Amino acid sequence: MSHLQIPPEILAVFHNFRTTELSSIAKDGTPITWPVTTAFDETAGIFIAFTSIGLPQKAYNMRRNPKVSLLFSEPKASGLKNPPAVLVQGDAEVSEDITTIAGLESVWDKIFRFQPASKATHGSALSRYLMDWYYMRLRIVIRPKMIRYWEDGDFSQAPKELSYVG
Amino acid sequence: MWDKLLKLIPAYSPVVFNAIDESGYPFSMRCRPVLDEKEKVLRIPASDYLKLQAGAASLLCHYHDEQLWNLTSFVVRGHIEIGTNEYIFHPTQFIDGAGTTFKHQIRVIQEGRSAAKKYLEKRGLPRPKIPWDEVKARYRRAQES
Repeated sequence: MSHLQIPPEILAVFHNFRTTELSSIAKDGTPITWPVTTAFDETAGIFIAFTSIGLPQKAYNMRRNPKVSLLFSEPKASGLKNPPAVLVQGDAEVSEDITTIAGLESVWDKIFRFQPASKATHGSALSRYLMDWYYMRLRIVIRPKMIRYWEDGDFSQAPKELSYVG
Repeated sequence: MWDKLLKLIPAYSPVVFNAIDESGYPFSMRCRPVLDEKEKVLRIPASDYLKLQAGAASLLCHYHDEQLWNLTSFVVRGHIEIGTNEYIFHPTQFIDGAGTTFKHQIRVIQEGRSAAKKYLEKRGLPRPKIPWDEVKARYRRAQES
């Protein structure tokens, strides 16, 4: 993906949307989707995400079936005017190692910048005791295969296809 | 569950509709489902370009404020059948996610601690030590940037 030209308006979505809706496929084939924050590494052409071992189901799903999607459809607080909605489909790889910061710096930087109240998860001795599991993280790398986008977030129109890496 | 959907789906619309497309990957889009009270299904308009498989599907409803806080979310599991110019979503399970009430937060902490303990025990791993000073420093730098 790194050689592909991603238009600036799409990159702006990847970098400024607060959340993306991440779908993984459950054992029975159901796409299960939850909002997460991701970081896009433009040089490597990959998305970095993570999940706590206290919420491991999406990691289990991805280890069983790596097919995932990311929908960027909530522009709130992004500062972007009439941004497109973007759907990324790709393959996920979940680390076996549990980490807190290493390899996840770009994602934490976004969360801590976008979410001032996240201090509640580490700001007191009690919260550090109750929430240590929140910081036990599995790194998720998502390699895009297909990117589609809908101008102005209008899903009634057919999306434009940005790229396909077979 | 149906009464809950009647109340919540309009409040969160457009909701995120998730299914599997012809390539076998998850496909998501925003939509405004019509709640069919008689059949207890949700009817989702199908544009010509959509190539979704009949079968397992879900809906995600979520909210955050301008500060990425006051998070609320839930997922509705179900399956779709392909109708005429529409997908017919049959809801089967309501999965609670984030919430702002004290009860919600206690549940998240209890479930998170329990799941993490099981994850570590299953693999024979010691409980990792969190580098709190590094976490706090990273938070401070991010807030100052």
